[in-house]
Amino acid sequence: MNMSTTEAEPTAELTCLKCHSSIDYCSFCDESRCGVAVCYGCLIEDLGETVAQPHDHGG
Amino acid sequence: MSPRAAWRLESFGFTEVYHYEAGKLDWIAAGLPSEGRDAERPRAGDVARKDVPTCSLDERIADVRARVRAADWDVCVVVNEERIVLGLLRHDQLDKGEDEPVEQVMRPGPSTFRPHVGIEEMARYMIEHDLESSPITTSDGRLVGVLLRTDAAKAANKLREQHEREHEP
Repeated sequence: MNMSTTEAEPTAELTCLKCHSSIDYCSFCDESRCGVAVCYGCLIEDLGETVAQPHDHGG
Repeated sequence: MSPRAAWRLESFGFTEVYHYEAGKLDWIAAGLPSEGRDAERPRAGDVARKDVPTCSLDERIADVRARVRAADWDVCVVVNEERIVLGLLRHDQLDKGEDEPVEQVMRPGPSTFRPHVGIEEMARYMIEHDLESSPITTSDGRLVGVLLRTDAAKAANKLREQHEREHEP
């Protein structure tokens, strides 16, 4: 007997176009089926919403 | 988060609570004056439309739809009494329902962008991602306006033409 009441929806494999990390949805358009998906980290860097640390150690 | 919110969290028993101190990017993001090479370039906040319709969570969707269409808009931003963005009603959501409250049909927590983002970057991203409009907010989530793709593309083209004229031999 099948005890489960819900079935998990199949999730599309989505990766960030820039860093190739696995993501659930595109951080720009919020879509899970985006052809040019981008992760949050790459997006804010690209849009200049964050400033890269001048030194590796962060100081 | 605000100092008051931070204190409230501490009162709930959280011990590692920090108050976010605004920096240079927050200054620019708030639309305050800046200097330097890029200061004169148009940014998302300059081009965003400030007259975008807004509504609250508990409004009836049919009423909001009628108001938005009458104003000749295709998007409405859901805000609280402090104009903090809570959700977005785009074409698809505006078409749904009658008596349901906005909260039930809106897109919750949409991606928002800061006013200081260059208009060329926003135009490129909006075209690539086929996005008609993007909400622009300050760092603390307060609505500045909505950037339309057509406005962003026009402003970016104008900037490019101006740049080409300035660099003609």
